[in-house]
Amino acid sequence: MSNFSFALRDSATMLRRDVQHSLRNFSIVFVLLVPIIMLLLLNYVFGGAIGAGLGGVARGSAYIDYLAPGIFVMTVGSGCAATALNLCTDMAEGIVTRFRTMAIFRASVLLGQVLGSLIRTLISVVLSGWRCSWASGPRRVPSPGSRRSASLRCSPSRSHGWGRCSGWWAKRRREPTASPSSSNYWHTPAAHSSARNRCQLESAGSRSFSPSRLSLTRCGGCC
Amino acid sequence: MMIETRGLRKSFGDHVVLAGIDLDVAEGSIFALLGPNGAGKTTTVQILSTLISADSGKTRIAGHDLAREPDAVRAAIGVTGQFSAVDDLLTGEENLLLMADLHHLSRREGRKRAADLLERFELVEAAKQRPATYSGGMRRRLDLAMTLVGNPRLIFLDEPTTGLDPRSRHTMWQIIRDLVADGVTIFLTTQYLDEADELANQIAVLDRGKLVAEGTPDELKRCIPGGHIQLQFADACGLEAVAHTLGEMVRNDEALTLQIPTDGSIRSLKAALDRLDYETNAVDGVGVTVHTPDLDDVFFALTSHPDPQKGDGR
Repeated sequence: MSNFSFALRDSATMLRRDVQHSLRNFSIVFVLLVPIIMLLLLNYVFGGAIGAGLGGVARGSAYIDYLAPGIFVMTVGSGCAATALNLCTDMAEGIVTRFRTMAIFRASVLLGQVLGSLIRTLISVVLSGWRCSWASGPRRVPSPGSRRSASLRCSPSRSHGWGRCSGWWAKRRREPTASPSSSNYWHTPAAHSSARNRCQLESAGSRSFSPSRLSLTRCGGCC
Repeated sequence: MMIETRGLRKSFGDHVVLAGIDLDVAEGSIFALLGPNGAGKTTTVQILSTLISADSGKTRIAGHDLAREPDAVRAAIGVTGQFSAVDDLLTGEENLLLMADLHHLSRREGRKRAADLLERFELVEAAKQRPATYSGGMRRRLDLAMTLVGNPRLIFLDEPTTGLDPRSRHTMWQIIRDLVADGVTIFLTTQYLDEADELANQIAVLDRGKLVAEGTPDELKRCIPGGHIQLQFADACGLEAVAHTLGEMVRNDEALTLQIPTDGSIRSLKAALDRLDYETNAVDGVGVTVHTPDLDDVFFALTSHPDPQKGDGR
């Protein structure tokens, strides 16, 4: 029993060390910000071009629904890479050698790093997930031809967005949930790709997918 | 005995690093392991501090068998290697608290121990700074302080003063002496022979994986003939004249020196100088230094095989 409680205590100590580390070196910044920057870059800057390149596939579903799972995988991957890097630094600095000559629970050295990485990656995934949902929030469909409703469509509804950020979830919701006859129904990704970019285009009165027209600055005005 | 080793062997592939070593280190003493680079000093420390395992041989440390109870051994020892094992992202104080937590001290006790050690090692002002801003001597002191958090009975010091300035070295020596006064046993490896001479009660010389000599510093020096007086000449003519008259002795034409062997006593010294005065009458302008055998002589005599400096004025 005492062995077990020592193991827990050692692991907690190592976890505390890892959290202190991530707050002081810049790994937390990389792990948290890089996925978000990549998401913003791939969605708002290159999103139009890539979305257009998807062609028929994109018409079936929103570009963001393809992007989001990739961002998540990248987030987890960069979290793993950061852990490997931290461990390597530890080994090179000789502090692990010191730990190995102490009567501690040996797996705690690794366990602390892995738990710390898990926490960082979870925060990062939640943040980028929130960002994805923000980017693909549900829109209201306008009555055709109305410019006023075009601006209505563009207002993102963040409260319903989280569930739609990943592709598999989007597929589950491919069927419209409300009657098409209703003038205000929650729209699905199946019907609209990259909603905010689309709304930009539609309000501009154009249906062509031109990357130059999908720029962040043009989108900024309506969103 | 704090350390008892019998027939310790270790080889990496075909390369034999330790070829059967017997060590006995008494409790409360300073034991110095000397040897040229590649003699197996660090390997010995790594085996004794449970970092790697020996191929064969029996070792007991602090009454525990090294192979069967490594955790009991780890609880009794502390290691301060030539690598700096401090955490650069934590402050000095946090490093000590980390060690206190890993030694399962209570929070209050850990803080008290950390504060005591910071004061003892003159690190109070630097306690809230990270080791990256420390000088080499401060880093080494923090390193040793971290080792001392767990109150080890045996401390391995692998080249503790390498790269320190003379003042920091003397501070470190004083710390080591204080530790021994508290009853701690020190196992020291060093490149500096004067350090071993200064500190150690017992010295073992390791060469090519074998112990070639063991004893107190005085015992080792006594068994090596290295005492001589060295005559320093102003020019080559004087050197030539004296060398011709006195006959056989170690001669260095480049440095313009001659060495006359003595046993270090006043009688032999006087006899040598009288002979110089009487036979050559050339004492004007000749400088004299007396050289008693030191650990350098022991070191070179015992590990002399590929020694390019042999006969070079030593």
